Amino acid sequence: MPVSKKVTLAVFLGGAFLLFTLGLFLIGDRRMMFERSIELRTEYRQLSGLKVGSKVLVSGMDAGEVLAIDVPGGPDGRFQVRFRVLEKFRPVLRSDSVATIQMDGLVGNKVLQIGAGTPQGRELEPGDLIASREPVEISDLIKEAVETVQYARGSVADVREAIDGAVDMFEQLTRNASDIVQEVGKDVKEISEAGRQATGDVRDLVAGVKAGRGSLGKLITDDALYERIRGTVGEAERVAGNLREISDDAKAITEELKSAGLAAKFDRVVSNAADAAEKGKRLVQGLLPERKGEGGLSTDLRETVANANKAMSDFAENMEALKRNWFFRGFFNQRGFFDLDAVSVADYQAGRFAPDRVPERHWLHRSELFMTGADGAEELSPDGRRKLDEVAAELLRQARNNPLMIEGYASAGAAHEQILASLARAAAVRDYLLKRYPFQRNYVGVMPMGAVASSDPSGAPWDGVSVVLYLPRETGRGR
Amino acid sequence: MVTAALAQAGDMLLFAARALRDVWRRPWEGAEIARQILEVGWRSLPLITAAGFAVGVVMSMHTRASLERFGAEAMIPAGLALALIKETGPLVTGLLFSGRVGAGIGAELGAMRVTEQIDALESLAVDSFKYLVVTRVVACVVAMPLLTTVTNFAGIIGGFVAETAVSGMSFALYFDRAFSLINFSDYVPSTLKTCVFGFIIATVSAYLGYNTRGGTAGVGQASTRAVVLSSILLILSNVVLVKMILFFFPSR
Amino acid sequence: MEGDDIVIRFERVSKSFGPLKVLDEVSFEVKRGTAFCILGRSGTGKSVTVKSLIGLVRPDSGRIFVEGEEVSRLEGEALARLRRRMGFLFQYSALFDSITVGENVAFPLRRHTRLSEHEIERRVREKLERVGLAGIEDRMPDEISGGMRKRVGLARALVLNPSVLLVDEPSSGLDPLTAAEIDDLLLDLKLREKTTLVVVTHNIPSARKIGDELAMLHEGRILARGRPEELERSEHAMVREFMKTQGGT
Repeated sequence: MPVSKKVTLAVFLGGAFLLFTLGLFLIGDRRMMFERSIELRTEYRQLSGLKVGSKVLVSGMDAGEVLAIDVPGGPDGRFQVRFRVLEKFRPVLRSDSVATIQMDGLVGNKVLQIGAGTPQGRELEPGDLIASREPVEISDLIKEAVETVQYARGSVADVREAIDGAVDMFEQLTRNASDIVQEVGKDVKEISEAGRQATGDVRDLVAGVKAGRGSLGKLITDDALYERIRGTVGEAERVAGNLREISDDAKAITEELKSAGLAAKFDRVVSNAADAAEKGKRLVQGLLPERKGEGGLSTDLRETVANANKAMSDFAENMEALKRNWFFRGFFNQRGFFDLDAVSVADYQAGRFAPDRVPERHWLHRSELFMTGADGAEELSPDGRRKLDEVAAELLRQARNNPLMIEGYASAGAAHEQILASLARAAAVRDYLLKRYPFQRNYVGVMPMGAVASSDPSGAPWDGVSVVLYLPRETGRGR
Repeated sequence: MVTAALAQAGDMLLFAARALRDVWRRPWEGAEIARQILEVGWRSLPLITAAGFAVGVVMSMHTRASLERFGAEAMIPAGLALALIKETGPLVTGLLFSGRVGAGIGAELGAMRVTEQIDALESLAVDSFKYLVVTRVVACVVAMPLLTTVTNFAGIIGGFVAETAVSGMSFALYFDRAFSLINFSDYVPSTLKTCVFGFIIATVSAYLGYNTRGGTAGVGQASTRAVVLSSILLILSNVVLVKMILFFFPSR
Repeated sequence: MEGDDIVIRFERVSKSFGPLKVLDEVSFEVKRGTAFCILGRSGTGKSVTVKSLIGLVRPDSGRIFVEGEEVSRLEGEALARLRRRMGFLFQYSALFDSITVGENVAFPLRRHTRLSEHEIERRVREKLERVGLAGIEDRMPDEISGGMRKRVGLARALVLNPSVLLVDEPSSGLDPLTAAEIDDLLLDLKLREKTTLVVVTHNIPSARKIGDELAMLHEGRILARGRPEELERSEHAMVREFMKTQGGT
């Protein structure tokens, strides 16, 4: 065989073999087989797809791989995960480092992420056990959220049932009491609505993930987002807890009312209460200051009502917090406001309320609306009611999920009198509108403007009311 | 018909068994093996390199199309390299090899048979089976994994060219990512299994050539059947081999 | 064995290919230093006879002895050793077409001897000169004519100086002049080097020229055997007819 052929043969065999070896080296290098490493351990109840050969990251940097996973001896044991970390990461790994299982990109590879420890922790020795945080599956999280919402709904239903039971009893005492309860019912409806909304949002989120919308999917791996979801769920749980309390309290009332021994006492309360109040609201409120110190049912009732009030106000606060949570914010942002009662006069006057919307105004003078009543206070005149009916007819042509702001104006008297008078006027108009027309309570706000000079037709300080409907820009036809 | 086919299959198995046995017997025929490695290996390089490169380019475009939908463009090098090294590289190399080398062996040995060159070898006291068949089998078994490695790398480089043309990814990053998902258990068995491909191609083609009957027409037939039969057996054996590899090296 | 001068012996050798009986209890002997020509029409088992002499074809029954060894039973190294002492000139030369003429002739030397490269070259040159083809070592087999190929084949068959040379149709595919040259070479070989020749041919003039003893093979049997003039007087009309033909292929 000539020399040139021998050279060619050597080049072919040697070259191809070197190429093969290069492949081996590249793989080995990627798996960090050529560097010194130490072996550490951690434990998990739930592995979430972590497997032998999975990457190990230290603070997000490739640092090793999982060597072995030992199955526990019993159902209450934990999986022993043994893994390799490059020697050079030892300075950042401390005894207080925590291991978490995370997703590597969207493909679903799981990686073991080791957080750097604090300077106070001692350096790790080979074979040391690192604390672990059990992985939270996004599916679990969503399930939890849905369960909580369902639980909240269930609680709401319980509350309604319990309250209905109580209502039946109270109806024997006074018809007005049911008004209050009905109001509670409305609140309950709102809670229920919010719960439904939350379920919808969660559903959208899940659908987004399923559809593989990259950006949203990536958010799921974000720790901060995860914390927010946890927070939301926690709040919802707290709300549900409060509701449960109310429900329990209401049940307790019902139970007590049902028991024969208390019936007699209750009769006494009934007669006392019947004397004391014409309206249920006053009756219930009246129970609080007037019957202090008395034992028996009246005290129970008082406490119960107080508890219920507190729980409801807690609930309202929670709902308030919930509204501002990222989870629901989108919904409220779309609506244009969180809560009309929370809009300050100063903000309102500065035009910071619903700047994206176009106001549709109806100016109503005092003389058109009000007359002086028997007690000297202003009340709506029959003409005023008719006028409001016209305005309402006009407003109802628009969608009812637009904020309706009733601005009160008063120019007589001192500054505080102006404010109070303007508030009273606006409130009277609102109460009338809400009572007669299907406006949504939480979309109708009052705004005591006082004697502030406004852009009324004559240019003088206005005396009366302006009903303003804030319409989305595209449909608005502002005046 | 069926018995004839079975008889031929059995004959072929005996032929393969004899090849396996005679590898270990003297004389080693080293020079002839070297010559055959040059013939089947070195001279296949241009074909293998060009084909591997083209396959890499095409696969890169396909993986890009599918991974882009999930926003996982970063996975393109790894996906491509994994597909190439695990299956595409070995199979493409095997099929090209059976086309070039299988046909060559079938035709060459067929021609030697009908022109009595095989008899002449025997008359010169040379074991023609060892000299012609075993050397080619050894050469193919040696050359296949080497050529597969060349295909793999040519494909990865082809993928890089296609990728960098679109995204401008750097060579270092591309290679780093390309090997990020590959384990030894993906690389080594998949490459070494092509030794079996080489054995199948060489024995089937040599069998058909060595037993050629019927003059020049027989030579053409032997050559064609060598390609067809070795390609089919290669693809079928691949199923078994992949199954075996998955059994011994379960994907983790 | 009947003395040392018998080199080749066929004892009741039979061979069939499927239903076709090619050799039917054929027996003959060849004495050392003589030329034995097997005559017959195409496809009468002449080639099978010579090929069985070096174990390329195994008989179904009967025994074949060459140089006192039973070829039909030899295997592996023993067979190879015997083959090294025999030369075979194939009908179409059977040169290895992937290597040069020189390498073809050198092939047996390289495989079976430990001669120096220089010595191999010398012997190749010598053998090629012997067949009248000096200086074509570097040509490829497909670059030379059929007659030259035949002579190269002869040079290759002779390069190990065999004591027995088997020749399959020396004149087939050649013009009469070239065929005659080959015959002269064979005759010269027999006379000068006392090589035992077994020649298969259907060329009668050629057989007359070379052969000491002729055998007419027909339908697997030897119809007649003897010197050329004996065959001309054979009791078989067909043999007499055959002996009258004048060459041709």
